[in-house]
Amino acid sequence: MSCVLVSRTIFRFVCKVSRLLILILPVIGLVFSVPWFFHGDSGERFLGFPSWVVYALLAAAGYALMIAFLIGRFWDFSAGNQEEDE
Amino acid sequence: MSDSIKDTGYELGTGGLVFIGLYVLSLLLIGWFGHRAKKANTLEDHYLGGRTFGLGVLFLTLYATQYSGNSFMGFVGKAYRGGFPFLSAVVAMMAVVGGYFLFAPRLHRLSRRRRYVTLGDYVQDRFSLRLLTVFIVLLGIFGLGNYVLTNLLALGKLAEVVSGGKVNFNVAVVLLATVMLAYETMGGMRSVAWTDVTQGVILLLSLGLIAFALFFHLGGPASVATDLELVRPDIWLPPDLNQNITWLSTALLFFFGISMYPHAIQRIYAARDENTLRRSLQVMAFMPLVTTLILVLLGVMAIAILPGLKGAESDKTTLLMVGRLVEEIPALVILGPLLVAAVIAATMSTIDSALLAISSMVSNDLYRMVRSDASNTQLTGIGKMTSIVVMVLVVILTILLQDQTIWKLLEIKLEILAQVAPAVMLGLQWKKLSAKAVLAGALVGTATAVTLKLGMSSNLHGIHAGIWGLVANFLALLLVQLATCRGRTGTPLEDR
Repeated sequence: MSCVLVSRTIFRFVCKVSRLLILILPVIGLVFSVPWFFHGDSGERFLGFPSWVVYALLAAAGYALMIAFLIGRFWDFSAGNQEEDE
Repeated sequence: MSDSIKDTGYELGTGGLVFIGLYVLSLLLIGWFGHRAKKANTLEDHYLGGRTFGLGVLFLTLYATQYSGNSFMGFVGKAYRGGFPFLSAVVAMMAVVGGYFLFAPRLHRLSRRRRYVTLGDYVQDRFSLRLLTVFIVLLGIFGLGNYVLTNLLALGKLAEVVSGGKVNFNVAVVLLATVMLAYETMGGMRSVAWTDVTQGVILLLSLGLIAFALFFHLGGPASVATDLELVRPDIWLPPDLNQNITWLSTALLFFFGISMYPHAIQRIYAARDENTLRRSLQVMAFMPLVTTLILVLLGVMAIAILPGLKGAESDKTTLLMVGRLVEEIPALVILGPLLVAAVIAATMSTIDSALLAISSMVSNDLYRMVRSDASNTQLTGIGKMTSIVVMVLVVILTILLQDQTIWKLLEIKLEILAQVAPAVMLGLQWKKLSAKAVLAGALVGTATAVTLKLGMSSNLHGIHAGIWGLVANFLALLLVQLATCRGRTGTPLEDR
């Protein structure tokens, strides 16, 4: 009996943590969109752009994809339970 | 069309002005159609278009509202002055949609069940603390009021510049304000959203033509790379730590600030159903790649093509570049009037939406607090009166302020609106969050943001005043929440 209770508590905890993680993903994504790791001009060019600009562009495209995916896949996750509102 | 942009690069010919005039008049016609489509004289119908917006209308109204004239003129000028580091604006505009993900799904569901019309409806329903509702509503009105004023100022100056002084600043402001007021009071949100559709299409068309000219005719940034390296070698260097912190701070300010605009929240309520809202937001996530990015590249390429623009002159980079593009590709002669129409469209769609949101907050959140027995017809009437009074005040202020450096207080918009975010984002996700905690946070956060912005430093350690305010807001909220630890879940709207 206590085993069932413990596993339920753990399950609820994991659910809450994963929900929190998914909700803060858009903020975490913003942190990674910044070109923190580039220092000085390496002289390398891709399609005329320096490498840090290519990183910023790819990160922006990746961020847009992530947000579209989150909205599509985790909409109900963000909306939460209807019962909670009643 | 024989119109062209003249040597100055930003002055339209008579034909171009006629094109703009016809476009502005067509907005009145759309407003009248919006009036005819009205189904009932209720707040829901006037301020949310009867909650019937489908994918096309919802997406285009969200799009036209999010991108203002500042995106077209200001972003390009900033990219010209700052170079590649201004790419931060692209991800910052995406961050707005990231912000919606945190609250739009739940808020949309609640708005359906509890019949919310304004942001204040949600705050009162969730927290049942009138003082908090009034404070949040006042923050919204202040932020939006500033937004309307600065945009109208920009609109008047643009009209004066593109007409080569033929249209006087004061005349342009009064004329355009009257047109906006007319279609907004006629059909409310329905008219505003339908004009947004026209405006959104014009924005996309002009951006498409600019992108075509930049990439297919001029060969894209790679073609001007050598000139760029000669003129501005500094922009090739990656941002330093302080610039990177400001990059993140800008994105966070957009995430928490722009997503809180009351007129954007009303569009979340106005969606026909959840699926429509979900699809619209998914498409919106990608729009900075075809809007902000193109404008930033336009500004960066202008560094090589039009070197030496200084200060206020660089704010006209968009029009100067379009003038150059039209000279080089005569087939794109429509681009000049179309771009001017696009900038006017972007600015008007922002002003009318903000004005409608202010009028709804005054009538639904403030007036109804005093006169709880007021009927829908009376409230709608009060809202229309509010629109007229606010617009008259704004026009007078715009005319008085035109030749002055804009009062610093007017620059505070996002800093203040970001302080609303905990009430919405945390309030929807944290069941036990108390009203007192949110109020304490909002008060401390607003005081911190305003003090920093006006007094000490608007970008302390590279971080915006609004983000410092948000940190103070969150800490105060946590402290009071831990001290009081009692949740108020609110009462249904119908019981108020």
